[in-house]
Amino acid sequence: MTPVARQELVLSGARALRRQVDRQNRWADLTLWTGAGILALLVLAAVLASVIAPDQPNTQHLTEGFLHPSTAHLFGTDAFGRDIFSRALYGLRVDLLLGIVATYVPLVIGMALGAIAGYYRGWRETVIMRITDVTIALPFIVLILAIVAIVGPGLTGVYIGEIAVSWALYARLTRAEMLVLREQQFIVAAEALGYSTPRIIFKHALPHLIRPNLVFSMADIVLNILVLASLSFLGVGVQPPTPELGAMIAEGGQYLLSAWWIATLPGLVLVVLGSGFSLVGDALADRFGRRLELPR
Amino acid sequence: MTTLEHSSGSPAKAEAHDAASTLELRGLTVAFPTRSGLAVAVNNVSLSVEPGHVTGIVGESGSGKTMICRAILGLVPRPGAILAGEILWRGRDLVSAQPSAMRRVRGSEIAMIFQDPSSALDPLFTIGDQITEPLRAHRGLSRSSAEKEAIELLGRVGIPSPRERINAYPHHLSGGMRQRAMIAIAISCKPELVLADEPTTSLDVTIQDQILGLLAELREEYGMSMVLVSHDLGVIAQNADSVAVMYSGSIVETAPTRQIFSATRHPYTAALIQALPSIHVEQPRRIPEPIPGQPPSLDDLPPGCPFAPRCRYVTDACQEVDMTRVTVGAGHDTACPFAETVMVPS
Repeated sequence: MTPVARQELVLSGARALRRQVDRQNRWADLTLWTGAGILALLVLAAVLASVIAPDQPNTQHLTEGFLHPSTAHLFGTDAFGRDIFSRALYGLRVDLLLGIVATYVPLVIGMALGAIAGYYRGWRETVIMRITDVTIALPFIVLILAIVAIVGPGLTGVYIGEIAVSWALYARLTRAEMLVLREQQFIVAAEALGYSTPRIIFKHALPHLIRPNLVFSMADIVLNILVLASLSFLGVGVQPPTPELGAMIAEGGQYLLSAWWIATLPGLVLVVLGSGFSLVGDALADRFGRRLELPR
Repeated sequence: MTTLEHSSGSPAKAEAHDAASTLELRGLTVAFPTRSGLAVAVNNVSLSVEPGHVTGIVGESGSGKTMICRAILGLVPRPGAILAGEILWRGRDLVSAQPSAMRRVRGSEIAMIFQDPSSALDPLFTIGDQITEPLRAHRGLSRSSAEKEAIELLGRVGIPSPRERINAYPHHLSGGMRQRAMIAIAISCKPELVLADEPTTSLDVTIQDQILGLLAELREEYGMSMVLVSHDLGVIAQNADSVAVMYSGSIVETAPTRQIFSATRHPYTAALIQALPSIHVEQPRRIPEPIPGQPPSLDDLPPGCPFAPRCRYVTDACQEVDMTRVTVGAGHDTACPFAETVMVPS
């Protein structure tokens, strides 16, 4: 083989490799931006609900019940003649807010507890991780149902319930990561420089623990929104007439055969919302080189 | 002070310090519980570091060199623990010191330089952040004065254009530059003792020489003592005032540096020196001799001298050796009671 031919072969190999890497990067970028686009659109719609919505969410027009989706009523109307599109927009607000609060408040609590357990070990770890185990061992929805039963039905109960339960997975994830991290040289180096333990945990270790938690939180938001929807569907979540996507699906369920749009279209919004978070979560997981999975 | 006439340190500065040694280890024993029993990583080690001097610790991987450094700072990794012994730092025992007192010693009185600067620097923070942090935490400097000092320190350790480099992340720097940054962090609070744990092992030979030169300069300038850990006898020969040779957790011989080469009094030290390639003109064809066998497992040490199974002078009496060191010269101790008879040809 002549030197020129050899060089050409190497170069073409390099080009093929570059194309492959580019393709992978483009695919990851596409996933991220599609997900982010969907989320941006939905968040904007929820924030601007009062501007976009053609009607008040709870105004009844009893003569205009069961109208098919049309230009006047994008998602049709329900049994009381309420505009489902307007109700879905306001419902989205409730779901998104709960999804974010019920994910990121537990994330902060869970990360702090997990970091303390993983760094100190000893009795602190035993206490924190046993409570975590108990919390995780009970079925999520049953535990929340119990808490809601104590606090009383409604959004407050759901907030308290979700926060009281979903910190546990973050605690477990963070502790596991901390066990690895604390043997890293730069953490030992920080100890050797005489920094206080809280400084080492919160300033030096936590920045390294955020990424896996952030990736997991994307899946968790969807989970938490679905729990609210399920609870509303079961009648212990958001109470009528407050619009919420899960509650709307529950109300529409009985008309599924005669007026499919009442349950289906709010359900579709929920699906799109969940897909948005999942796409972003997948893309972040790809970027950070981690699989998106529950820390069991 | 067991001063050594050949000492390359700075005797003038050393005499300014207290006559007692800065750091003294007495019978330090560190062990780890394992499934097959107790692994003794550091076995009854006594060692002293004179003010302003460099004490070298040399030995193979796993001989306990690093563990001594970590024990001095109270950072023995779990589940290991200091089982016995004292670590006297300026007359105070660090083994029994409160955690808060220990934190004041770390960084500001005793600092450590790690073997691999690429993993000892935090990848998420800039070099500037990492140098200003001890300055602000220990010396209470303001952000701007800490930054000014950080730039000075970076310049002092030989990092070009330090003003720009404080915004660099560790991955922006080469290995040698990272080790310089690591040194800048270690000396930032003007410690009296620096524990240099294989500071040049991860660097190539030319950089190694520069870093060792820098450490010597800084030591002179700041009047610091140093514990220099290395597996490289050559590094120790050029930089240490006295040497402790370690084998399987025990110190087998301590001596002033020149004497360890000229008047070796332990078979293991002799074997280590034999294993060095020689460039001396008088022995042009000497082939380095490897030491046969492997060091014993730390949780299953043979009775008596741990080096006995590999020792060329081994006798049955070696099983009775209790590794207490006997003095054979000025500042020269050996753990081999037979060295004088077997190693010195009469």
